[in-house]
Amino acid sequence: MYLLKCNFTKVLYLFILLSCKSFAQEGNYVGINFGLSDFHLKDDHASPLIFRGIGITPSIQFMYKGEAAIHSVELSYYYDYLGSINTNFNTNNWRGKVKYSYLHFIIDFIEPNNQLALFIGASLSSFLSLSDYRYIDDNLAIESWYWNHSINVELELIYSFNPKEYITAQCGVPAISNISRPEYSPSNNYSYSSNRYIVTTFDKMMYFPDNFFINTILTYHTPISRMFSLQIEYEFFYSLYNKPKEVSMYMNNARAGLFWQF
Amino acid sequence: MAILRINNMKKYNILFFLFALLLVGCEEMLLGPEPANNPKGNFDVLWKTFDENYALFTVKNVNWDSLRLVYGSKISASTTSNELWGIMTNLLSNLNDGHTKLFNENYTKGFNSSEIAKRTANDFSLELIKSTKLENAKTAGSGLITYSKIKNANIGYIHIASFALTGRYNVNWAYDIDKALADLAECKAIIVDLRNNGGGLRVTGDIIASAFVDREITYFYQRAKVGPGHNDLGDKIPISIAPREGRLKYSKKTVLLTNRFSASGSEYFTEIFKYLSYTTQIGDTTFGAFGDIISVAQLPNGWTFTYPCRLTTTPDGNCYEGKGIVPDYVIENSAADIKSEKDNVINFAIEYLR
Repeated sequence: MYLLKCNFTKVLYLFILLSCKSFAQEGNYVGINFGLSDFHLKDDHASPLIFRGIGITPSIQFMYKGEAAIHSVELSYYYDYLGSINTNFNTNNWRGKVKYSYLHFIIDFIEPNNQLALFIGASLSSFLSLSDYRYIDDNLAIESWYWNHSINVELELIYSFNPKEYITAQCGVPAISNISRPEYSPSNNYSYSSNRYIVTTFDKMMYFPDNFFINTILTYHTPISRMFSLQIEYEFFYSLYNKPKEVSMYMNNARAGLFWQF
Repeated sequence: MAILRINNMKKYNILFFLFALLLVGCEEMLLGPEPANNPKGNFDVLWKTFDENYALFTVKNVNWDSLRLVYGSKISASTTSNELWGIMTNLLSNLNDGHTKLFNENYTKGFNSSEIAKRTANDFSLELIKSTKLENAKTAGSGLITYSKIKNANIGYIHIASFALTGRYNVNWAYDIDKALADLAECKAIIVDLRNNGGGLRVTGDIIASAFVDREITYFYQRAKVGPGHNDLGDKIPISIAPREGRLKYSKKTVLLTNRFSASGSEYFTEIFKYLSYTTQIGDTTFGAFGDIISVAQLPNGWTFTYPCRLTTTPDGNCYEGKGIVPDYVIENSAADIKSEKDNVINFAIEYLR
């Protein structure tokens, strides 16, 4: 019975593969991804300790791939319940990223099929990490955040195994940012009546390398039918910012998702 | 078939290589070292957090660097948790700050840096006042406000036990103080008793005080910590109070009673009354806790501590921190007075208002 089930699955999979038609890279794609996020945070505004945890990360992507350019929009959300070396101290952490990127084809390599293509471009992104450290009682808490709105330089390599199947490696670093952080100690963005910080959207203009982060995304695309493709994605993000107190964080995200081509 | 296998191998090698290249999992390399959870590591975090964030060094006569040497030298790898607690509390005692506290890992044991806080509050008894002075004591604000007419005198009495955060005790402070004052509307004078009121949130005191003020008053200025240096304090932030909208102008003769345990938010409230021509402060000097915005910080061993990150001064630059506000009439009770059912402070206040 088990063998029968396995064979049926294999036959079904083979049927799907055989029914696939040519997967053209050019076109519009909309995809939904879901995965896990391994997040590490050290924010001197709130604690000298490192907080870490594994949470969830859904994302939605839209891509237009033309012959010489790629436009993409990404909305990603991350939630982690972070722990520290001491079980007394934990924090909820919410993160979000909105990003539009434009990548222009520059050159391709590896004759005779030009399997490797280089794209260079720019992106606009907004990344927020918000943590709520709460202890002793509800009156004593520290909120902290890092919100970076930036114009980034982007580079992408696409390696095609065949027209239907390819991997991409995209890397971005910020050139100009506006970064919001809590003040050194509670003052203008602190609400005395609610005993809480007020998250400010915009604050200081910063330039590379003082606004440093690196966001790298590796993807593997393979078609599963004429209209749909599977994407497996790994994202690495690291940021370091030292105003008014140092905050550094990194995350490893692994997602899988389904893309619809239209 | 062989070609296909090689292509697959190549494909997976490339994937693996790129993944390994980017999976930089070395936490310490990326985020820097985490403080060690040992006696020295914990002491260093406590000392450094105060060094860079405590806003009141300019009004405290302490040499923080010397204290690090004095108390840090007592720590070794074999220092026990109890010993570390003792060393840390001795260090913080030098600040004599009512807002500087240390809590152990389960928050079952706390330490207050202030010398006054260690005294037992035995110079005041609300029960004594209720049984000997009040006609028919009523409560409001989830029991935090006690009020009544004084027996055989046309004087109202309001005791406020705390300026706790609105919502925490399901208190509508504006409604409750208005109701108490409305019930005492016939009285020619009011006694507001803040004895043993350890404070709470300044905004709560402001809500109550707004029922008593006759005009807008800037009664304090604060300066927030803006950098790691002891003198890194920001611009002056005015702390003001104004009559609540829609209220009748209050101008009744009022006495404010304080003692050494009228602390923090109570003292802000007291300072407001100093600006009102129709109010008089009677009792003992207040606690002397004028740091504001109490931050909480963590130690690697699970303990926490609090410290103020704003310095408060009067408009002319005077700071009451560690000193308290001296009453217009200094009248004290002893424990023996209370035991013998005698409250000198309220007796004086009643005679003063008759």
